[in-house]
Amino acid sequence: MTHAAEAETHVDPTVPGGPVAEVEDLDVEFTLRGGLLGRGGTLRAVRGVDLHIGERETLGLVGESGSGKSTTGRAMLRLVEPTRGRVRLDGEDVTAMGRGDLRAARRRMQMVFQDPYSSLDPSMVVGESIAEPLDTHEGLDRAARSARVAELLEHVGLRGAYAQRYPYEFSGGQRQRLAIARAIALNPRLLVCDEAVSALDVSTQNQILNLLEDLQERFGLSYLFIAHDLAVVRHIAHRVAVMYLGEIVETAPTDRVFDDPAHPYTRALLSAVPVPNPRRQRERERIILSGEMPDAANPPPGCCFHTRCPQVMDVCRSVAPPVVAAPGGGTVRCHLHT
Amino acid sequence: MTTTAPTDGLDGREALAPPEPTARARFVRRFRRQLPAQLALGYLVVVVAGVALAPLLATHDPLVQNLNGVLQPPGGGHVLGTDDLGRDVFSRALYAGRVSLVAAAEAVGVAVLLGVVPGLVAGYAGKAVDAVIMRVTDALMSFPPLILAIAFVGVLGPSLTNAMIVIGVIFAPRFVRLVRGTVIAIREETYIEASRSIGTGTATVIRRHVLPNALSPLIVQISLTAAMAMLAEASLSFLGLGVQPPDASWGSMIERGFRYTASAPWLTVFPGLLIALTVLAFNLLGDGLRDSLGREIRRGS
Repeated sequence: MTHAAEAETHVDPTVPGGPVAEVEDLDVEFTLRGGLLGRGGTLRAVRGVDLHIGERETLGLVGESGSGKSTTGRAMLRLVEPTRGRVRLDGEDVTAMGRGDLRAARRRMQMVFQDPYSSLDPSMVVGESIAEPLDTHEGLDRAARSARVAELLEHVGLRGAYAQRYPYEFSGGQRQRLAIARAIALNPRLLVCDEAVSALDVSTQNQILNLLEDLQERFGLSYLFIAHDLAVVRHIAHRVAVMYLGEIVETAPTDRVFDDPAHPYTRALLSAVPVPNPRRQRERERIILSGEMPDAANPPPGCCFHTRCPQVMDVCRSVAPPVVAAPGGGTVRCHLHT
Repeated sequence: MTTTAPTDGLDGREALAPPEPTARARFVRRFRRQLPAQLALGYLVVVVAGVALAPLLATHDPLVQNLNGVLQPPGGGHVLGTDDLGRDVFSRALYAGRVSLVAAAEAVGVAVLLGVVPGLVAGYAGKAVDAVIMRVTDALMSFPPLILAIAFVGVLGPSLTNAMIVIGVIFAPRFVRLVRGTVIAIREETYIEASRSIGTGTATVIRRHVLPNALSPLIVQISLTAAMAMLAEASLSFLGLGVQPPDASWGSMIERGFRYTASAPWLTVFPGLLIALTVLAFNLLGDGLRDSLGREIRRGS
């Protein structure tokens, strides 16, 4: 796979009429259950996240497990309730919506989940699963409903006749196609893909990524593409946001992030990706991070990355760095650039 | 990037096994591999048909006494012999089977009726609702079933229906726990979150996704509980607290024949065999159903 070559074919999209999705100062806190007598604390899984995704744009959201990227995606769809901040979809405030408005808004924002083996109900034929959004929002008659299901199956590269099959009859890649068919059934504006290809093998990953790109083109979709695999993100994303311990530490167009990472954490992440050229692989510098990600319930003072940063300075231990413009485009949250 | 279908051999259009259009076809295919369960099902069908057709199959009136021919051994005019009042054991066993099976069905019915809805609610709602329902369930489970049944029958008068309702109440917590546990597991499945993310309402999520997926363990538990209810009925009747003479159940037939175990073993052996085989059949059927109803995992690959 030549991700590098393909990534260059992406044209950075211009954004007409404002972003499709906007996230402002998003916070998500979970209440921890205490022990037998202890009172539970709170865990800030997402801390002051700002994002925006343009029309037909794919924003890659990367980070280690536990960095809060999935929670960010779920909070944008209000599958978990944000504690603070705003999420706007086409300028409408999703966070302020009541139950009825939110239900109606769900047709414009859908999700593709990581595990294609558990995201389809094993007790019903896949056509029923795909028709579920139609049943909830459109109330089509029988004929129109099954015609639409067959059409959706064709859109994702499956046969319309497969509607009467059970999920266990499909492979992982086929199931992920089914999940995508369900997600695009209502012509949404925003699709949150939560590790949508992580459970698949590499050749299947590539097919699903191509399918997603194709659908984006045809239906004008915007993606929040959550992943930990940087090669995958480089392939599909126009812009990348890097998360660490609930904060976005760097965001920029994909090529800038991969060619000239501004944040030490991004550099460390990138150095962990093997390079196809053996000579370059041997010559390049590997940055090994020491220790583990700090406990999110008890984040370190100052910069959240200072406990593992190879370029840590005194100021990092006490003062949280502001978000500043990074050289070459995008923003970074690091004292090296202030 | 204009084609939808990738062009290599691993595309989304790879061939699937021949279609199996209904859940029933899938169940039948898997059940065919369960020989003990099939035998058990066959046996139960014979027993149910036999007791249902008792008036046609009975060779004698089950209640008519013949004091000139008491304790006749099997063979001759009476297939399974006669009891201490000269009544035909075969005919009595047929009619007694009705009582025993209906009693078991009553207990299971009460248990399912009382157990399933609280289990669903506790499992799906969680938190405080769950805690309250489960503490009530724990309290119920701490009663010894037979002792409580005996106490109730003592207060309400000996009646098999009363006794089986009490047994049903005592068995209900098993269903609460089972359904709750299943629902808790199902609630964490991604397809529930997927359904919620679409905007499906809670009632619809429970009806469309939770209940159908909780059904298989429930059916298995019904079969196993039927076996336990049969045994409970037999025990109560053996103690004289179940069905009242001159009617009989398999349990009360054993009780009556118990005094003649040495001289007329056929009085206890045949009803005892029926109870044992029926309980075994319910258990085997339950096991077979469990293996053919559960989620099927794609093998190979």
